[in-house]
Amino acid sequence: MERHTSADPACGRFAALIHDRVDGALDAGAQQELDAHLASCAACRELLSDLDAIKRTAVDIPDLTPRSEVWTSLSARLAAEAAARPRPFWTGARVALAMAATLVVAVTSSVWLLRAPAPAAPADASAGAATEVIQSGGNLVQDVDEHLRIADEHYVKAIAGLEQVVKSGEGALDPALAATLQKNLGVIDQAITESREAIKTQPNSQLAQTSLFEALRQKVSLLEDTVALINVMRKGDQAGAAKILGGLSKS
Amino acid sequence: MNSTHRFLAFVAAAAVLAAAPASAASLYSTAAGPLGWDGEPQQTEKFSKTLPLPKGGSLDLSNISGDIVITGGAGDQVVIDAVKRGKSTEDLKLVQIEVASTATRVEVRTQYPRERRNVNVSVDYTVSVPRAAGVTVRTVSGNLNLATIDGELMADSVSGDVNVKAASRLESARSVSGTVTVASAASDGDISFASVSGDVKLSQVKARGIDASSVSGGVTLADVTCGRAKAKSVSGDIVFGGPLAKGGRYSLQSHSGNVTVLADGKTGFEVSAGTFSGEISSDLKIVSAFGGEPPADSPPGRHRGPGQRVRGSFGDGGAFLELNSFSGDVKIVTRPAELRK
Repeated sequence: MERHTSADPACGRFAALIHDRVDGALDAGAQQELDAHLASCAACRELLSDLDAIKRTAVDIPDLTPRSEVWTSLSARLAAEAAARPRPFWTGARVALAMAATLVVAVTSSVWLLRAPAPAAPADASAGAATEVIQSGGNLVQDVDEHLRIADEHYVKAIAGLEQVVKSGEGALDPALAATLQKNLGVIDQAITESREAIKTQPNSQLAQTSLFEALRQKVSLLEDTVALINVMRKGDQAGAAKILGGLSKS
Repeated sequence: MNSTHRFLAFVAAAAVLAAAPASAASLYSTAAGPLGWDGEPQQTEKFSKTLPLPKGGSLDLSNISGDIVITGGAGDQVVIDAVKRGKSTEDLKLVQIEVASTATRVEVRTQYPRERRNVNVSVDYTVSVPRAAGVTVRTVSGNLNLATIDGELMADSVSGDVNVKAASRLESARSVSGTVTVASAASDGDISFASVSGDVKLSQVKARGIDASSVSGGVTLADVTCGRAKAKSVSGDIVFGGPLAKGGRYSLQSHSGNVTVLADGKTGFEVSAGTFSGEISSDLKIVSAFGGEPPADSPPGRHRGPGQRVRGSFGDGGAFLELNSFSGDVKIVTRPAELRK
């Protein structure tokens, strides 16, 4: 099946409008302009469809409401990271994923501090703040475990949504490239499986927990890059594919 | 753009080229070439163009299929030599090399027909640029070989190796399924290196910060000088060798590969090392910061057993090493020969 061969040079500009539409940030005039373009551009309709699918997946993720004292230290970090981060490829979905990832990192760090013997001095101010947070709780071990479980669920759901998008569009990729990406997703899956097995045998192992969340984060990142590659290939913009490599540094 | 438009564009471009000054000369020639990879006779078409590029200028080159060689040298011109390869002259005509230039920028695009897939034409580029020129180069399928470039350099290949040699302002070198090899490079800022399935191999790289990653390949940082390094792989080994900066931070992480640091024994460092099922060893005497292994004032050597974490310091503890592997070994060695074990 021949797919998405639009050669409209305006697609690049409309891609930004599509992102805004998915984020619900499009004004009426721009909406009208975008609708007119979508009526004649299959590639952009497909991009919109993919982003909507990702957004639906993100919406299905249950709200995460960390305890207020945890959130206080996280929110400052999130705000700083959000300010420093350039506009991502798919704003809505990636912000949600990045926030989940940041939460996981922060919560995992808290677990280290909770479960490891206390160092002679905190490595930095944030570590000190996290230590205070942990010491303030009553059933803190259970709380942290619960946060980790929820973060794990977030990742699993995000991965499932992204895998669905990849599955539906993989035909757009060169078969050899698709095979390479699948092979490496398999390598990450192996790491996830090994980490989960390790956690079963040693539930309190910091290394196993860190390893699991790092592997989950890498899988999300590689899937994001794969979807981005699929979208530029669908649009016939093969040269644009190499630009996607910017995301790889985050894998 | 339909075929008529493309033809008109091509004619227009040819007219522009014909009217161009002597300093911007180009040449097309078509000939039957050698056999292709499938044993079929291959048609080739050569393309040449020379454009002026003053100091501070840059080259931006995009390709879909084919190798690219870019070399910096003396002079103030960009010399582009390209060879299109395909099964027929008709196929060769489907792919256009478009060159646009301003006073400070030369842009080269390899245009394939968007309405047709499976156009089996590759274009190999050999380009020379003024040594100080900035270079941005991208290809989907092909190797990149880049040398003696002093301007800002960014190199990306989706499916192909990226080789960089002697680049004094390197910003990034990345591939999905190829190996990234960099020998002798520098930057005032941070440099990022990445591959998904290939190795990342760096030697004699100097930068403020280095980020290097691979999923199934190894990451080797040999003789690198930086204040911050972050290297990670899922299944590959990580090797770091180079002087440690006082206050520097070096984070090396692999899931199933070994993590090895070659330390000179002169610079002090604090180390946090961990492995779930591998071993931790150090040729240097690490003084424990708290609990765990090794005990205070322990001799150098191995610290066996699963689920271990070591936190301690050597010397003045000026740098910080964070070394983690889930199932691989974590090693601090003092002899380069140990890196090969």
